[in-house]
Amino acid sequence: MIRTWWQRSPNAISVLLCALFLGSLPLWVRSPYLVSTAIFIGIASILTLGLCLLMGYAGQISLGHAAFYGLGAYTSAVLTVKYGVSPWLAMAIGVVITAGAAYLIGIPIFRLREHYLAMATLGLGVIAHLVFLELRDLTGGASGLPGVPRLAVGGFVFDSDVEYFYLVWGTVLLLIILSLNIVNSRVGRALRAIHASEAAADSIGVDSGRYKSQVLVLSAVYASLAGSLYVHYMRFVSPQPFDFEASVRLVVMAAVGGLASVWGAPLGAAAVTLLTVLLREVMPRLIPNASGEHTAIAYGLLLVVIMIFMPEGLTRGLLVRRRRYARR
Amino acid sequence: MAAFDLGNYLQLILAGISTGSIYVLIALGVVTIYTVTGVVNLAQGEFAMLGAMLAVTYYGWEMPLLLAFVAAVLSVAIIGAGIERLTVDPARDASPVTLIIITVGVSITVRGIALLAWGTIPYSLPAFTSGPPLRLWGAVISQQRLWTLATAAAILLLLYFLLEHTLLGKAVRACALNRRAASLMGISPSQMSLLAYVLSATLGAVGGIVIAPLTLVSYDMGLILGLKGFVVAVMGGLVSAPMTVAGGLLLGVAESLAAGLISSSLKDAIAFIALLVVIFARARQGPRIRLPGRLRS
Amino acid sequence: MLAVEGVTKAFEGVLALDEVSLEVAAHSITALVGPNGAGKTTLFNIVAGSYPPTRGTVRLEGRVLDGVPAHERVRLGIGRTFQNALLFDHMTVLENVMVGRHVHGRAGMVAAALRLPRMRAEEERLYLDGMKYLNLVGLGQRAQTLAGSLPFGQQRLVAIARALATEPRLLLMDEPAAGLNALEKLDLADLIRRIQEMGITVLLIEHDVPLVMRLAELIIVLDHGRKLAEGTPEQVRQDRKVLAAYLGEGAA
Repeated sequence: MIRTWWQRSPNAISVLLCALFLGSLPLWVRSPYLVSTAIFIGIASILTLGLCLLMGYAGQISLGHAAFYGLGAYTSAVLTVKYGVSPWLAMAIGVVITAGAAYLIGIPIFRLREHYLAMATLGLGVIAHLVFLELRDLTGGASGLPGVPRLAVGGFVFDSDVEYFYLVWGTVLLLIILSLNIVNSRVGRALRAIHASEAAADSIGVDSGRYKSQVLVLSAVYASLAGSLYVHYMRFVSPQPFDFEASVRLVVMAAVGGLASVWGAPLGAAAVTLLTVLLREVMPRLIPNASGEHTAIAYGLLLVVIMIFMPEGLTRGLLVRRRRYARR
Repeated sequence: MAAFDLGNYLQLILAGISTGSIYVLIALGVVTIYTVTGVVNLAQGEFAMLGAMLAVTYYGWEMPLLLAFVAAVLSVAIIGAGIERLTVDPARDASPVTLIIITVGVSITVRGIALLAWGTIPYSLPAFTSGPPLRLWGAVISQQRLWTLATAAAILLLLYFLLEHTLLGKAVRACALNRRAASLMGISPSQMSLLAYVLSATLGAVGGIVIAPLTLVSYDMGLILGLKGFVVAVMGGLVSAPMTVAGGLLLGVAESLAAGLISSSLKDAIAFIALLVVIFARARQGPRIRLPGRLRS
Repeated sequence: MLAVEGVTKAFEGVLALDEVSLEVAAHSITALVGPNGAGKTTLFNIVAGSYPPTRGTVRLEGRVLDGVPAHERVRLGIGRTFQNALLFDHMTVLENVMVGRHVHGRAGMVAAALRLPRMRAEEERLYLDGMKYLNLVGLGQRAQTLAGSLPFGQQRLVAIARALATEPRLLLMDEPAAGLNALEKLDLADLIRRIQEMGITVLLIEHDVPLVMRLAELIIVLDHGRKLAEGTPEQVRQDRKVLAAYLGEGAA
């Protein structure tokens, strides 16, 4: 049976379609606010992607992922602002430092059971946030560090939102491709095996400890990149976006998108971000004098409802229905 | 800083124990829900916040303080039951991550409602008894702190009695040990889950109200209390009540000593450093035993 | 092939195994039987490396296994199946078996991410190997089905295929016949003999007496953590202690 290349690689199609869609986006979305939102969704997607691999495929919960995000962000900011290091080099150093931290953390942490792991990551996340806050001489403390330079390649500077949009989403697509490759490989299967049953994975020779560590490092690297991209866009860094709530938001994005799904990451990131934006716009129209509290309440309620009725997240929730009909 | 005498240390320690007992109450709430349902309730701190807020409100409605206390605790218990029925019960078989996220959603919603109802301005609750602080061996300890200790101890005794000597309590413990077996014995996990939430809500509410006169009450006080509650619960291994009590008191004392002797900005960090130390100490206990086919109970 | 020497295992006051010693000859089919709670699965867990014995040693072909973690024992040649298949439910049947080939692959995360040619070639091989083992148990046509949706008996077969894919020299099978109907049991017996013909030593835990009597060359009986008897099916069938343990004192 001859199968055309597009039948053999549905993922390649999706990537292509995505690229086309995203490539054309700035042409038909005129509002600068929306382009800016799209950039934030892109950065969130990178973070969520790493988290989906960690939580969805390897089955390890992380309630402190904002720590890696912040580590990458602060490394980029501090090195470029205080030491004049080239932004790309600073980004690379950020990746190395974050990867190293993830590796070291992974050594003791993976011996822990589910909830201990969640608690440990929670604690680490909070401590990282406190460190960002308290090391005032280095990080600028609560007031942060302004003056982070823009990213540039050769003479070309990424200083308009549209240009940054392409940079960020180009990175997202690249990482999606890499992630899909990993998932559909021996390593990906090993990760899914570990998630499904560590006992069974052991019995066929999968070294769970090593793979969990690797995927943690990978997710940390993604987070670090996201952090660097974030500060070079905002041109400013402060501890506020790297607190416990941020970590929680990341987990929510991953869960809403569908944990064990690479495509779920950008989907979840977009869904949650747009939800917040939408609520902010819509609430005042539904309830006069509505403000932040109403948005928060609606957000919380929607979260609960989505998790109850679509616990596998949006992708599974929709995909599973399709598959059920297909496999008759 | 003045020269330190025993009195000073004692004062710090006693203050620490009283704060620590609040952590214990909240942590036990976490432990109760975890052992019975297998989920870590990230909204635990909000029970404390609601208890304090409602007590303030009832007191503001001219209720005598004691009545306000009881009414607030009862209200939060009912709210806890409502939360369990509406958000936990329908998601009974979901994965741990989903359940944790649901508790996050609940926490966000509750905080939003609190913000709406009470605004951002902090409130205060008067101390249970007015009167001068007591002097013990050179240490000065306010009456409210003693109330904290006394109330916490009383609640713990009540809890102990309930769990050890009543049929209902034994059912809860059975469920905590092994849900499958318990359900085979005719104990309904659904009812136990409800009971666990009611118990936790009560514990949290009491903790929040009793500490209210000592700190300011605001819509976001639940967050940090909840986080510290988790830390203490982890110290107890998420399952052991005695270790939780010990851990909570220790944490309270450590925080108090650190704040008083070194620097107050260290206070919050202590909890999380302690968390990591405990977790990694447990991890050193050797490789986990992976028993194939183990029931998640 | 396998030597268990004086293995004792205590779990917080419960003595699961008490000075158990036994030997499994290479290329044989040996059965481990005994009433529930006798310690059979505990012994399997110790041999497979899930946890260490409190006392005693386990040797595989003369080599001491103390301290070798479970996943490394697979490379040394120990494979196992579990009482409840423990399949990776959300993966396809073929993927389950392909994971079984894990120790026979080498591509790491970087090679996978970049889809290097070496990795793609290896993937092809893993795919073909997976199909081979799947066909061995007769489930080739179910390759793309989700493992979790298979009927119980077939899930068992997939688990066996997965274990076989690791190319074990010793295969530990924990109650492979439990829950199977008579026809499936016959097929299973056939499969086990074929496994033996592949040169693999089989040690199985089973409750089905006729099956064990037919298949096993050596039967080891455990009761309350101790070895009660050992011998050929005939010998064990007539052993007093065994009869007493299974049927009660009066029957012996």
